[in-house]
Order: sequence, then C-alpha cells, then structure tokens
Amino acid sequence: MLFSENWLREWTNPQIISQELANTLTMAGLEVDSVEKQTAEFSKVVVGEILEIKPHPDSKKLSLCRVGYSKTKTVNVVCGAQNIAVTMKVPLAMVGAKLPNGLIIKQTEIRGCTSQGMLCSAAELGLSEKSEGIMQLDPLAKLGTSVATHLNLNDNIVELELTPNRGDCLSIAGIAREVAALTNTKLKPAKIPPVAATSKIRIPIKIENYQGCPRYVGRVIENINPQAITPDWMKEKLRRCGVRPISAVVDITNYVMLELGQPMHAFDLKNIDTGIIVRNAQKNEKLTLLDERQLKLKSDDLLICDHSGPVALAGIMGGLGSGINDQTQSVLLESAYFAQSEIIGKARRISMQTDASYRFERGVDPLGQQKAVERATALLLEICGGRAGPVLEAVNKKFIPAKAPIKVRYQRINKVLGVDVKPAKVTQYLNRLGCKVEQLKNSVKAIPPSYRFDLEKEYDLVEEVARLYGYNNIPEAPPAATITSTATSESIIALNRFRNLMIDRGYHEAITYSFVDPTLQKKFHQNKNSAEHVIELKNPIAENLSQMRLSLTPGLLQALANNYHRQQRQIQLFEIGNVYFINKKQRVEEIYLGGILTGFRHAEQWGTTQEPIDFYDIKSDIEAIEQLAKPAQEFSYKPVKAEGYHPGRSAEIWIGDQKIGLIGQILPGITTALDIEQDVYFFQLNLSVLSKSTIPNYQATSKFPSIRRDFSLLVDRNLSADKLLEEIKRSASEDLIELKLFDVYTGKPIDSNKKSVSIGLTFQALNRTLTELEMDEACSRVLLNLKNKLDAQLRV
Amino acid sequence: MTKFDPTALNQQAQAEIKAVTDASTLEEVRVKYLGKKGLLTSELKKIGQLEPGQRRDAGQQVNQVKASLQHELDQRKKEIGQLAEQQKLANETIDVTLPGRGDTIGSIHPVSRAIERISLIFSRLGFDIATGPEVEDDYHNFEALNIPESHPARAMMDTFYVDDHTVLRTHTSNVQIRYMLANQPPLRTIAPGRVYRCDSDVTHTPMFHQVEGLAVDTNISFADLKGVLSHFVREFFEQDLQVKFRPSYFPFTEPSAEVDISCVFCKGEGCRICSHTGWLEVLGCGMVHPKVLSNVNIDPEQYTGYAFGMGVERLAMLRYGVNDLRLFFESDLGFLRQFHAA
Repeated sequence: MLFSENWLREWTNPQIISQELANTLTMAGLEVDSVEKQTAEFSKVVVGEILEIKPHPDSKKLSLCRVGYSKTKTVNVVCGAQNIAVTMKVPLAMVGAKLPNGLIIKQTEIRGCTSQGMLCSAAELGLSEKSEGIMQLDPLAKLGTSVATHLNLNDNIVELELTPNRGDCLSIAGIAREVAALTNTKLKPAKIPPVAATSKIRIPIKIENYQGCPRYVGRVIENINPQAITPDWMKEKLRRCGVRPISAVVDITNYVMLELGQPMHAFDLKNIDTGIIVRNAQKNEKLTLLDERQLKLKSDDLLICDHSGPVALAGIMGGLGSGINDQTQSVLLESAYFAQSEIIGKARRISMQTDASYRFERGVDPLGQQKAVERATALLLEICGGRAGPVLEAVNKKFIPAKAPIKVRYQRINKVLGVDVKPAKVTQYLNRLGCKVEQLKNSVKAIPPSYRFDLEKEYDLVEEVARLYGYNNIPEAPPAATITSTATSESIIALNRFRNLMIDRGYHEAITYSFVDPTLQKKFHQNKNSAEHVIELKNPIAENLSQMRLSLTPGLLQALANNYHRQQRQIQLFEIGNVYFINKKQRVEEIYLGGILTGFRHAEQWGTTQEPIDFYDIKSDIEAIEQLAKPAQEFSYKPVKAEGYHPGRSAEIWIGDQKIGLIGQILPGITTALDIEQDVYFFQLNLSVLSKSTIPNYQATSKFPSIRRDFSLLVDRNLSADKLLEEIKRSASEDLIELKLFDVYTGKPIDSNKKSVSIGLTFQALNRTLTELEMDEACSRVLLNLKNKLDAQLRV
Repeated sequence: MTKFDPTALNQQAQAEIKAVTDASTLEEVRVKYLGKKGLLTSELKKIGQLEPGQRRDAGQQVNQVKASLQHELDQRKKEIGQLAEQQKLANETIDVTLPGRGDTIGSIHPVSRAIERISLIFSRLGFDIATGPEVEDDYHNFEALNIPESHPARAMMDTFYVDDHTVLRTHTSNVQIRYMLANQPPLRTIAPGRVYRCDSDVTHTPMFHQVEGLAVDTNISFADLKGVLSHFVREFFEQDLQVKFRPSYFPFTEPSAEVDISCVFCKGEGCRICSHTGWLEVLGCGMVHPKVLSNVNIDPEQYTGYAFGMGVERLAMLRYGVNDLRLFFESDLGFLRQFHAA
C-alpha cells in the first residue's frame, strides 16, 4: 500500500523525521519498501489563469496567452501546447523561475513576440513521467500561490508491504493508529460530524444473506453537479496513494476508502430499479462488470441487486449498467460490511483483485460504515453540491463479529518471549493498540478493537506485547539444548559421501529442475508416459517444465547438451536428487545418483593420446560406488534394451533380485538430435538402497606365499565375462583368493566366432605353502570344468 | 740392477690415478702397479736383492706405498662412481613445470556446499537432519500449518498443483508437521530440500532450496530463537554481524519475525547488494503457532517451540558472491567449476 506521509501526519504527527518514521513502521512489522520523495524541485512557479488566447502571428503551432497571476497583474506568454483554454488555471513559471531540469526562465522573444514566462506541464515540474499538455489546476486554486504550496509538495510517498493479517492498516486512519501506538503520540482523527439530511429521498434496502452482509448502509445525494471537478488537494492525495483520479464522485469514494479503509461504491440512482437487495446469485444470472467483463454467476456469489437484477458483485466490483457517469445527477452511496469469508478467494478465482476485495478479504472494520457514509456525504456536498437524504441502514447485529475479552497471563508472556514484561507495561501496550484492558493479578483481560481481525487469542496479544516491547529489546539467549541422543547407525552412508566420491572422480555437481520437458522424457520413458505413472503439473510454468522427472536422464542430458553447445567437449556431470512416479496409484519419491559424461578418458594432456570414453570408463565409476557402498551382495549387470539407450550398450544394475539402476550409452539418435556429436554415457543408481551398507568384518589373512597361474582361453564370442568368471569360481578350490580377467582378444588368428580371454588365478592357503602339484591339480579341475560347461579351450 | 725407488713409483702412480676418469682405466692402472706383474709387485721382488739390513725398511716402504695406492684407488673408484651417478642423474633431468598427468577432481554445487555448511552448524547445536516429500498433500503443506484454503497467504504462495489436493511443496515447513507427528518432544531438527513456487523471473526460479528448522521443548522462548539464529548467521558468514529481528507474519508462527543481518559486503555502510540500506533480509522465523502444535497433538500449554526457514540460494549468493539466481540451475561448467568441495 502506498500512502502520503503528509496525509498521515495530518492524523498523527510524531516528532521524528521521515527516515525514523519508516524505520519505526518496519520494526513494528509494517515493512516500508520504499520512500519516494515528492519534492518541489522548482521555484517561482505560481498559480496563473489564462485570460486571453490569441494566435501567434508568425506560427500556426504557437499561441499568445495573457496570464493573470493576481487580481491585477498579468504577463504575456508564448505557448505551444494544444490543451489550453481561457479561464484555465495553470502553473506559471515566472521570469527567474528554475525548473527541475535546470532551465531558468528568462524573458525572450519567440518569433517576434515577447514571452514573459512559461506555462508548465506536470512533467516539466517533475511531477509525472510523461507530458500530457499543460497541467490543469483546479478552478479554486488561488492566483499567485506557489504551485508547491498549492499541491502540498515536499511530501514522501511511502510504500508499505503489508502482511495479510494487517488489513486494518490499509488506510491512513489505520496506519495513523499504528504509528500513534508505536510512538506513543496523540491520534488526531479527521472530524466527521453527521451531515443532516436536507432531502427526504430514501430507497428500500433489504439483506437476504446477513451472514455474507451483516450491514449495508446507503444514502442518496440528489442534484449534484455532474461536471464538478475534483480539487487538486484531493487529486494529489489520491495520486500519492497510487489511485488514479477519475471523476469527482469516484474520487470521493476512493478518497474515503484510502482515508478510513471502508470501500465504497456509488450507483447512479436512475439506474437502480426500486430498491437494493443483497442476495446470492440465482441460476443463470449474469452480470457485466465495470471493466466490461461478463460474469456467469454462481450460487455462492454474493450480489447487490435492484428489483430487475444484479447491479454489483458484492465487495469486488460494481456493474457496468448501474455505475455513474458525467450525466449522473443523483447518487446512491454504498458503504457495506461484507464478511471476510464471503470475499476471500473469490476475487482470486475470477482473477480480479480490486482495492475493495483486497480490503474485505483482509477484514474491514464492521463498525465503520456509518462514518464512511457521513465522510463521503460531506465531501460530495462540498465538491459536487446537491442535497443529501437520510442515512439508510439494513443490519443484523447478530452477524457483526463481536470481540470477546482475552485473558493474557504474564507467565505465558514470559514463557513465550523469554523476558519479563511488567504488568503495567502490558496494560499500557494493549491500551495504546486500542484494546480495553483490565489489569488482574496474574493476567490482564483485554478486548481488542473491532478493526483488529488478527487479535483473537492469548497468543495474538502476546505477539502484540512483543511488538511494542520491541523484538530487539528481547535478549539473545546463548544456544542451549537438552541433550537428546538420536541413534545413528554405522551402516548408513551419508549422501555427502557419495557426493564427494563423484567429485573426487572428476564429476561436477549439477542441480536440475525436478520438472522436465515431456517430449524429452518420453524418449526414455515412452512406456510410462501416462497419468498412471507420471506426475504432471496442472499449472506448469511452461510446457517444457510440466512433468515430474521419472529419472535423472532428461535433466542431466539437457544440462550436458547446454554445455556442449557452449563449446565444452569434456563434460562430466552428476546430480543427486529425487525421481517422482506413481506406482499402484501411490506417489513415490526415490533418491537417485545420476552421472552423465562425454568426451575423453582423460582430459587432454601431454604425453598421452586422447581416447574417447566408453562403457567401461563409466562402469568403473559404478564399481567405485559399489566399493563405497559395500552392499551385502555384489552388483550384477543384465544387458537390456532400455528405451532411449543403445541396445547393445546398456545394462540394468541389480543387487540380488532388486533392480537398483541403469547404465548405458544414450541412443545416438537422441544425442545427434540434440546436436551432440560425441557418444554420451549415463548411469543412475538408487541411493535409498545403497545408503545402507555392511559393517566391516575382519577375515584372517595368510602369511604363506601366493601362486599365480595365467591362462588364455578360447571361448564362444558371445560368452559373457560374468558367466566365465562365475564358472571358474564355482570349480576352484577355496584357496583361490583372486581372479583377474586381464585381456580379451578377437581377430586373427582366432576364429571369428571365438574370442580369447586371458585370466589369472591367484591361490593362497591360510595354513601352509601350496605345492606345485596341488596347483596343477586345482588348475586342471578348473580348466576341465570350463571345457565341459562352456566349451573353453586352453590356448597354447 | 735397477734402482729400488718405491717413492718415485708412488708419485707416478698417484698422478695416473688422479688422471683416470672411468672405472675400466682405473682397473688398468691398478693392474699396472698392483697386479701380479705390476710395477710395485716387481719392486717387492727386488727387496731380496737388497742388503739384509735394508730389507726390513724396504719391505715396510713398499707395503706403505701399496697401502697408499690401494687407498687412492678405492677413493678414486668411489669418486668415479659418484661422478657417473651424478652424470646419470643429470641426464635424467625433467621439466618439473610441465603439468601433471591424470584426472582432475570435480566440483560441488554451491547449493550443496551451503546446505552442508548449514547442516554442520546446526548438527553441532544438537539438531537432527530430516527430510520429507516434495509432492505433498495440502494438509501437510497448508492446513496443518494453519493456512486454510481461503487464507490470503495461499495466494502469496504461487503454488504448483498436481491435483486439487496435491501440490509441489511451497516450503520445507511440511517436514515440521511430519517430524512432529513422528517424534515426541524435545525435538530439534532441520530439513533441507527443494521447494517450488510458480514464479519465474530475474529474481525467482520455479524451484529453489530451503532449510527449515524446528525446536520444541518445555522451555523454549523467543530469546532462544534469537540466540540460535544470531549464532547461526555469525558462524555461517564468519563475521561478527549485527542481527535484527523485526515483526512479520507467517500463519504457522506467532510471534513471527524476519531476520536482517548487517550487509556482509559493505558491513552496513550501504552498497548495491543491500540496496543501500546496510541490511540484508536472510531468514523468516517465529514461535511455533499453538494451533500448529495442537494439530500434531503436542500440548501448547506444556510445550513451546520455534521454527525458522531460510532460502539456501539467497545465503549461497551472499556467501559466494553469485549475482544471478538463475545461474544455480543452468548447470554451466564455467559456473560449477568455481565451487570446489569443502
């Protein structure tokens, strides 16, 4: 909310400078966002009146104006603006005046005519961004008065960022109440005496939904001057509070709202059929609002209607058909109290937040309707003339929120705040905030004011005490804690350990969005791309961020692509984060570690040749993770034709019968489509499984020498290494302590459907030195078994 | 008969030994003098021809020369060996300024780095680390936190919806609720994690990170909250910062506060980073609202608690001088490489 500091100071004027005032508000929870100066950056500019306009003899665009600046004194001014008229009051920069842009006005000759000053636009006076012709001052402006005085300049526009609980501060009166309480200064509210009726005009008001509208106050003002102009003082106040002046009647209703916080509406009486009825919408009713939007109404929409139908959406916006215009002669003023619950959420639902709905949502003083009508009536009569009818009111007090007394215990204040606030202080603070307070022995009983919707319970008042005591006056207690021992299991591996392993192996950590591009995701999860499996956002920020990721693949691939397009060729990224999916109608989140890489085995360096990475480079990273995680069972790799992956170069990773991840080359078709001309490898592992490790269990080591025997075997080309090794382990004696596969060879002179695999077996016994004979026997057994089971031939 | 003169022979041999520079020539010199047919050996043979009275002296003389030559030869051999070794090493000289080979290490994401640091500080104060779901029901994300359907605060949240009652959590405060439902006080926990708001511009990304904190005990007050958070910001920034608590509003705490710290860049003098105010807003916090405690079956008369929430990116930006929020999620290597693991 924007407000004018000068206006506030009319209500309460603490003896502190603007900056301190802003600081006081901020430190009380009414955060001041900005303070914008409204200074007169000019001098010798006075109110003038155009008395005569003659065309310039030598220019079609220029006019010669005679401008009066007192009853008798005039000057001649050459003017180029189009919007001037005789009797118009204007800002006249006299000879010697200085304008904000540094221009000093001198007597000059313009194409042969003398000009003894200048008529100014708002922009030229630094009061508006753009020029809209000569500034028009109101007809009541006094000739010769300094424009700075006339416009009440040397003000500040203060912008408050109000939290939603402080609807009571959405007015000058509200802020003034708060400032007065905070600074312990006297409040000087505007005097609003009742305006006696001078006409008998009344119209019937009927409320059908008292819950939504406990009170509706109306008043008719007849015979107003439809052409009345809003005085500059009001226009300026409105402008500084961020409200654009429109017409006198509208300006007055807005002014009252800004001043007292009571939203008001003005109907053209001639468009109101018979009387006002406040009721909910009926079936198929429609209403065209002031902004020309047509609404199909729902039965829970509260309406202001006349006897022919809806004329306004209660508390939000008036209808187009019943509004006032420059012909309006009789006005029906509305000053109603709509319950918070009636308005909350509605404006948002139809995406139409108005100044009125904003206030009703946050709570408007249920006792302020009469006062607002009196205020508006007085202003209307002053500015537009006319005759006021009697104040009309429909009300059901049962539905007006009443404030119950609240008990605030001193001991509770101490417990929550950690500081002793003296009972007298508590009473004083609550009094200053407008509560009716009764001081008891161990507590106070306080009745909060009607406009404080946020004060209902003891804890609300404890906060108020804290605010007035000053948060900064509450001491800082040194950190202390009851020692509670949370069990920690040694078998849990912290995510950080995995993170550090990846980093140490050369990966850079990325964090990508949890929502991804469905098109890219589909390439890896075509089968799961349905509402049955994937979590979709109803209101994504963009179409390409609309699906929750099913794997870390799309995000990391996109990140890799972005780097590739920035000329990076060696890219190694990882991410630790959740994947999200639906399994048997349950939403599931699982934490994964994913890695993606492209480029070379080692970064370019001297003395070595660069070799592109392959499957086994990334597999070694997984093996490192396995060594770290030490699961109860070893990882196994099952070749798989996974969607989006190279069918011959991808595998699922399993621990026993649990699938824990995936490794493979991204399908070249996908990477080339992303303009990546290198092979890209990816893996991901389920960390919720891997975070649970085993505890080391020492096994005795042998002190006797070990013996190694190497063999080269001819086997079927398609035989997988794990099958071969498995078979060896099965048939070898328990003395086999290490089994290495150290070479694989295909090509001449080996048959094309065979390959040569070289293995090394190391034997060692715990209690003795193994003999050559034992070794020969052990190896023969292994080789014989391989021959029988896998048709493996020993190469010689 | 040739003259018996081992001293002359000694001088001659000494000179030759000194002149030798390699091991094989040195051996030749040894053989020449000390070999079976060597000059000194033949000199020894001459002793028999001497007067018997002179033999003893002559014998001693020759033996002395022999010993001295042997010593010189050994010495020289050692020297030559050393020289050769030195030469060999000299030939093996490399350019130590050439870069090393092998692999380099990677980098940690600044958000992770900040979360690690925050977690470390709070775990030393006895806080647990908890997690909770990111796709959350509106009960845990809103209602249990005293934000009913119609609450204006919901409008401020820019929530992503999965369906009418399921959202992407707008804050890590949902973990508060889940933690309190699962554990009995006294409680102390922090919950770092991803959160989501439907907002994207220069200063907002639709996903970011928060760390939620919660402590519930029989004797926790606002003064404790102030103490813990002041300690935290000073330790996190390693500066003796000024800390300011000012009233604010969150539906799930009361009293609520925003925490400002004196600007870590200009020390409160006023600069571009702090919009010339000298202060930076870094945290939101407050005493857990009694309604929230009641919602999770904790008696608000017996127990009080505090809660706080901080934006990790905000803290990381201030700590590491990152000037654009969006950089965190662009995964640009040029950016990522700058954050080495702590």
